Amino acid sequence: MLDVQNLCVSIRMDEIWYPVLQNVSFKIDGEETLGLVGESGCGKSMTATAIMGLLDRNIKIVDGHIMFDGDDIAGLDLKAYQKYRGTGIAMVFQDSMSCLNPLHRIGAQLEETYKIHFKNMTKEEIHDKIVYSLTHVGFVNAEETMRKYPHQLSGGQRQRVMIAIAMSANPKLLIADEPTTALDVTTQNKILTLMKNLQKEHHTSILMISHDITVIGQTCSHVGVMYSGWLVEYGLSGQVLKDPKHPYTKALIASIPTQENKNKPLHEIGGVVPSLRMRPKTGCVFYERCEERCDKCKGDIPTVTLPDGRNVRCVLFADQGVE
Amino acid sequence: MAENREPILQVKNLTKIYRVPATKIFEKKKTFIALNDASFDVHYGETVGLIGESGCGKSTTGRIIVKLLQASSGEVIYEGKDINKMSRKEFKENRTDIQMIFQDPATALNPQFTIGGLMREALRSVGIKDKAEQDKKILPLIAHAGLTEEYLARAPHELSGGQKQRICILLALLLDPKFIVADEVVSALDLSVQAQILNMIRRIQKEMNLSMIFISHDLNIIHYVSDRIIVMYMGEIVEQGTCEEIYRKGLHPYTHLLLSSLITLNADNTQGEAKDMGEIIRSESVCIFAPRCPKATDQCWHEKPALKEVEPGHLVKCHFVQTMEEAAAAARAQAN
Amino acid sequence: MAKDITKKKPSRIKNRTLRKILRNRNFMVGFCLLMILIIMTIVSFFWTPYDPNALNLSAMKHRPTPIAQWGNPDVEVHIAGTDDVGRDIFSRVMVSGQKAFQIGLSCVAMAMVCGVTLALFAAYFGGWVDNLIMRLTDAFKSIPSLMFAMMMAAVFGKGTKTTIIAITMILIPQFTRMTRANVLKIREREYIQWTTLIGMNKFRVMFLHILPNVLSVIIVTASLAFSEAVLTEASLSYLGLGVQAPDASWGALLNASQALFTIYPYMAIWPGMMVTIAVLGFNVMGDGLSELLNAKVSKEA
Repeated sequence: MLDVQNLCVSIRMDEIWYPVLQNVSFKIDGEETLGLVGESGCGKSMTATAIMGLLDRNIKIVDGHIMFDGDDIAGLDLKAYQKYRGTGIAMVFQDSMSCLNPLHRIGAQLEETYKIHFKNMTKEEIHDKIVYSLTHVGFVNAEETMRKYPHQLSGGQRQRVMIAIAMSANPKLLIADEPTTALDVTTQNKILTLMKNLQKEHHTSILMISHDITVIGQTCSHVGVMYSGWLVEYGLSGQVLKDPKHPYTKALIASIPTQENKNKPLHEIGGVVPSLRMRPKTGCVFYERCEERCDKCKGDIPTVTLPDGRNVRCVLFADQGVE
Repeated sequence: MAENREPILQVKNLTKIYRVPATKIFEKKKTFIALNDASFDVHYGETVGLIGESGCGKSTTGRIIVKLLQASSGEVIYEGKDINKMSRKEFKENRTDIQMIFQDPATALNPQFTIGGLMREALRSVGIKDKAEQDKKILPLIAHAGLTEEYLARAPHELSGGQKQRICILLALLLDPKFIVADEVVSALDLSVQAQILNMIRRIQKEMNLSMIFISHDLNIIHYVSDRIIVMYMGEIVEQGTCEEIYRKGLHPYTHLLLSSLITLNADNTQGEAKDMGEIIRSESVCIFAPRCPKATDQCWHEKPALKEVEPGHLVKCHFVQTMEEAAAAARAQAN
Repeated sequence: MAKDITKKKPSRIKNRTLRKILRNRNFMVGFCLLMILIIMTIVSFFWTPYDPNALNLSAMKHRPTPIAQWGNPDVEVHIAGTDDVGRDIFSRVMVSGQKAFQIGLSCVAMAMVCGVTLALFAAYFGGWVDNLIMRLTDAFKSIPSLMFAMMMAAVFGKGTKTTIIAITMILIPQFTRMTRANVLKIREREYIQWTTLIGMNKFRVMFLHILPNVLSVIIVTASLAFSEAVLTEASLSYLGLGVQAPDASWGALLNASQALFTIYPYMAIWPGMMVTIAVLGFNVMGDGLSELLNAKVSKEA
């Protein structure tokens, strides 16, 4: 349903164009959940904004296609994009406080989305629909919540409102950008469960962005690991997280503190993430920090599809699968 | 890692109450209790982890211990002296003993100074004004952190998040402290950088035999770092014990809720059964967790539980646990 | 869709900060306007077309010489014409610039030192110190500035010195308010809390650790204060309370031109234009500065 093919995005800074995303390709079908995980600067949020058509003026899609239900939505202008928003693709952001208008009541904000997408509904019908949405996302007393202002709700409650707004028009794809990062641990779980339940009900696909690999592992069927604008590994989350193949994925998972590695030092990845200007122009972007590097890494790096179905972008696996 | 059973720091009945200015004219003045009757010890060479969610008072505790805040009542006994009520002058000789590492490296370093400049400022405050003397302290420490001398000439905005946090740690260590409070030091960092910083802290603590309080909301990190753990909820300590005791034999319902939210790569978590956070009732006669507790009974709503010792060193604040004495008595009764 | 937009040529100026400054329209416009005035004033120290104080009763109220006749050796060229006692207006306008900048600079400098120091003490110590300083500042601000200056002139006499003192006192509250707001923000930042942890001397914290971080705000306030100083000085001189004869000041020139305005407007045009350029220049440059410094701060933050 969503098929991103070879997406390349560049940003203009001080008159020079720097590549931000390079050849990112993945698919989401039906009721799947894809989690994009990576550290800051890897481009996961940029991917989401590119799909949503919310790129800034100095950021452009230079190559590739974003196929949504057969249509290429990459680089469409605002008007053309409108028909996909809401009913096609919806987004939930990280900071719920800045996404809700502090001067309007919750009910009014939900009403707006309904008015845009369901132009023929009467006031009563909209009211009922709002009550239904709010109850559906877990509010016990929807009528009371409708009359509240955003600052009167807790972080978790606001996030639920955001989800209600996003799901109000039954989108086919829900993009969630760090939906639980700003929340407490106990609330986090509830929100993730909520999203999973809504997904089953509405048959929505979810694209989740997070830097927290454990959250992704818990909620997503597929996972894509990104580093410096590359999608280095992509496949079923059970496979990728339990048996990582790409050196970066391996290093990342080894650096998570768990109950097992308590008294041992954590695995450190030497070096630092290269800034946009310092990214190498040829060869593998992870070369400098990779423990398994070789001379072949300085050339073109193919994306290899391994027999178990996952994609790895590394020369080490060139002979194990097809490109 | 707990070599000496002597406590370097004892916190007794620490309370912090904020007075909230009234918004309406005839409204009674409201108070906000950030910390309510907290007591615990930290032993020499030990790392105590403070865990809880937002609003639980862990940051407040940390700040009171380093004397950035003053507690409304209670004692903070450092090496035998109550430092909470001490004036700036009285505390001067111990001021550099207790240091803090802040959460956000972006705002923890003055952007107008170079790194070297900040370090010299720190040393200057303790009386080391001669450049050569300062260098003698700065250079070995830089090497310790895996950075080179050229970093001294850089300004904070030229460094990455991880490098900044390392500098913050160095600044805390520069004045030869004995006790460190680490307030969410890795929360703002990427995963791989987190690993570097956690390793660095472990190494330095061992080498310098520091005692530490580590504050975090991340269960995995707290388990990794701490010898003993204190679980806090809404300003109160609900359970404290060793790492193993809390994670394997945690007894308080809130501890269960937290642990059930723990997501690891390999284990699937079971859903916690607690309700959503409703109103918080702070009262002398109601258990702080009662509104959310799945096991709450009438007693919980009318009587505040005391902190009970279930095993030596393992304390729980709940009506439904037995103290050691009670358990022993019950065992005796059964045997008879 | 593969446009190669990455091949745009980078600009020739390599220094990034310089490039940013040059591209900021507000700053450049303000700066250019002010440079006109500054160059004019500097030149006036060394040379003016005519002696600004030389009376020339034979050449009273001459119109400005048309440009066509400027090369003509027989004609006495007066770019702006002469005033009612024959003094060359343009020379007087040039020399007035000296007074404007002198008064402006000294007032702003003194107000800055006083205002910023008061603000630092108020914001850092808080409590009764803050209350005392801020209430005094509020009291000051409540007096209309021109009225206050007139009072000062009435009590201490007219002239340049009184003008400077009066304007300084009028400017202090602006600096205090702006600086205090920003210091309050910075006081809660962790790098200032850290100074408490190491037991640093409070004054050192105020002046060496907090002050450099509010400098950008102070500079912007200073440029706006400069324009207010120039304007207030012109108003005072216009009322006859500021710079006294024979010293020239734009406001004084405007005062002198008042009676004759309907028949001979040229005496008013040039001084008025200079005041406008000065105020406009400082305001616009101040806007540009605030844009530049805010961008820098948000990038570093």
